[in-house]
Amino acid sequence: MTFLHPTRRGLLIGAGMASAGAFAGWTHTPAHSSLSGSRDPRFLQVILRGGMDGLAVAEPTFEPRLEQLRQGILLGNLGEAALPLQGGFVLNPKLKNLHEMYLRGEASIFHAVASPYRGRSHFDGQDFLESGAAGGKALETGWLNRALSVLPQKNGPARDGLAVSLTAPLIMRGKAPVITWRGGGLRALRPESFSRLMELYSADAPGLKSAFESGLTLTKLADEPPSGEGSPFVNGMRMAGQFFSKPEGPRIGMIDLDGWDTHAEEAPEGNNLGKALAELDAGLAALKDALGAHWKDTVVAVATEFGRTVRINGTEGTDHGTATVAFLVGGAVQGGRVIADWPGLQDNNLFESRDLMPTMDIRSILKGVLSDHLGIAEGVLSDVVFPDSQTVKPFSSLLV
Amino acid sequence: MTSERAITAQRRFGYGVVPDAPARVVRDPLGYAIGQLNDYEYKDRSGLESSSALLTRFKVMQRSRRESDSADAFKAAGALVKGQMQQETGYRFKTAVQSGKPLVERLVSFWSDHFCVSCVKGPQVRLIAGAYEREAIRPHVTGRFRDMLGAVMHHPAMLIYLDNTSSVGPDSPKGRKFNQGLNENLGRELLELHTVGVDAGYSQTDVTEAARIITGWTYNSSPGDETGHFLFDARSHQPGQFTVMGVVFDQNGEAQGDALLDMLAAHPSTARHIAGKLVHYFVGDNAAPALTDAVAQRFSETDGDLKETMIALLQRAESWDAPAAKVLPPFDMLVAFSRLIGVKLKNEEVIAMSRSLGQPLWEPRSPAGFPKGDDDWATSGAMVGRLKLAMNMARQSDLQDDPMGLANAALGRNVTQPLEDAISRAATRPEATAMLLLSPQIQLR
Repeated sequence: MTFLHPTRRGLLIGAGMASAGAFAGWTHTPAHSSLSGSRDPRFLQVILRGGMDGLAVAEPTFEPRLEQLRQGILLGNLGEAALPLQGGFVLNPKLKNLHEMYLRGEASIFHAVASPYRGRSHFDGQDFLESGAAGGKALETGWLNRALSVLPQKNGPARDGLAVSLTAPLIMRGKAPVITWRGGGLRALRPESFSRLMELYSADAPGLKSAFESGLTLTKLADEPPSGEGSPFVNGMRMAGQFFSKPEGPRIGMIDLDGWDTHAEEAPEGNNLGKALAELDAGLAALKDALGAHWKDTVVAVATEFGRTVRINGTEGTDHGTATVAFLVGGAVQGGRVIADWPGLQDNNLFESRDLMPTMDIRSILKGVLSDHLGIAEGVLSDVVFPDSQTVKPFSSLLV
Repeated sequence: MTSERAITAQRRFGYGVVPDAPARVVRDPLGYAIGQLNDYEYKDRSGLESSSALLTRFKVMQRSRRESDSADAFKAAGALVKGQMQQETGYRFKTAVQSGKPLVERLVSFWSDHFCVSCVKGPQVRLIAGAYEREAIRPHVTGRFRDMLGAVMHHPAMLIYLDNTSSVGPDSPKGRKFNQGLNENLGRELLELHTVGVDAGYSQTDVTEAARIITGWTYNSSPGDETGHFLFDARSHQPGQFTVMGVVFDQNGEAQGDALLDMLAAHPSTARHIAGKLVHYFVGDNAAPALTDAVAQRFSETDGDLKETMIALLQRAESWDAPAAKVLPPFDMLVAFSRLIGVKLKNEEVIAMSRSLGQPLWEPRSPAGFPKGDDDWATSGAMVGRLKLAMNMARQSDLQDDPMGLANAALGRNVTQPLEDAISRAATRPEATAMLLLSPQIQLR
């Protein structure tokens, strides 16, 4: 085994990577540039809104205080067996597909991760995560849009950044063109009526016309699920996979999922955390299925604005916290690992005596992906994509 | 005969066209618009509870939750918040649809967005966001800017939303005892968003000084008759004199903050900032700069009289002549649909529809409010949502008249040949109605 003793502060890092690479990973230069050769990389950012409880997703069973701090929401009490991970962690049983990907080496789990934000407001936290700000105040544009803006120009509206959302969330706002997709409906009108509507717009409302038409272009690339059926998130993941699979489709996108703000009744069967996890898990499987052979060229990053308190509150839930888990999933991920500089759960280990202490900056993971997967140079990442992040080194060797 | 200006009076300076427009809008569109402002007299007819009453009930539930660890109390608080949101949404929507003064309702929407709070902050803001609009915004939309600013800055919704309740002067008694410090959130947005604007040339030091001046501005959260009311907490107030944008404030206590608001409300940058936003909101992205100048001048010479400022905007020809280019925000579109085809929506439907179209009421993603650009709501995903909604509402309407008759009654000579084609060649009545609802004549203002 290559991880250090987990109950001390030490680096946990999985098989398949030389132990010497552990800290070298923080400073290593990118191994490959994906823009060379025949690879056609896909990247999807999944944002979990509401603050996901990382300790209830990947639980450190080796922590002696866990029972005392979180009795009532421990994974061992769920009725379903928790899924084994390396280093003494177990995965929430609702994440079966993710676990299967992990076992196949297609998913890595990062623990004790946080953005630079240290407050406890959802919207400020999400603004930091999405804008990629280093501190102070969130920025007006999103890091994913800025990443798009520094990539080589692609042609056609379908090559724009994809936001599986009604309007572009902050992470996708900026100069680079963005196309949004959300649920079917264009078929509600007959094609003849549709074209008459376009005639109406062409004279007086060019903005409406181009918005409608790019939506239609995108819709034609994929088989829309029947409107109103299934989870919008799972449908969105499937659609993203279909769009990403088309030669003329987009390659970089985002999607979000609400429902992580588990202040109460976090644990019982049928609870809100379990529901949200099951939806996330089904979405990942739908995406993989829709991508088919392109899964091997895909990286999905899953992140939330912050974690939750280590102790449960008076209503069997948890309140806003700091560090939490993040995932990288996809055929291009060198997975099967739990990666953490584990801070411990003793009182003096906690952030402000209440939260899991952040020991890893989410930007180091994202910079590693953007560098090795999309070939964005480190200097550009530190100046443009994540401004003022020179000291946050890209994590290397995250990808195959 | 419906003139171009009569249409503009309803679309640009109202909540959309109706088939039975009042006679005055046809006869005298400008007089109709100004008349709404002159006739407006604020009275809360909502029948809904005050924010202090709501916060009192909420605090009682929170206490019983703490004392008994009861999940029931948690659920009761949740039900209170949800129920209140439904009623407040219903009141806002119904008033916008039925009001004989739609321009006043548009101003409520403008100022509520200018001084926005957001439910994303948490259940307390969600509980009183509607009450905040009724208490701090509505009474002042044709009054003085300084009065609205004062009401906003004294309201618990704003004090909670932008964290002033947790801002403590480091050298105040509380700051020293508990080692607490400043939260600059409200101080910053007071300058950047509420008054002088980001281009006014102030510095980070000005922001910090403004935040120091308003330390202690909080609300009463302890049990009793005063729960939920503004409270100046001297024990949190940073002592000393401070300088903001070159002006020294040496007053004591709450008066120091009031003097800061006086200075900011009267600042020439505030006049420009407010005028620019009003022009952008009503006329669009490409409005002539001279229009903003005229409106700003009126704001300044009337000491921020918002009625006179709005009348100055209405009296300029370019406010009426600029082409309709602004895509309706989702909430405004729901109101416009409902006014035009008479579909009644349940409170829950208004909530669900505006959320699914990206504009949940009182819940913008940032303190800057909802997107404001002409085309910001015209994204591909959103257009699909609009189309579906138009079809659904068209199916629900029980129009007695045919859709073409409705179009003619509402739009008069604004029914263009392409619109007539689209309506007359539709296969079904709902589809014809949807074509009208989706037309630029309805979607743009």
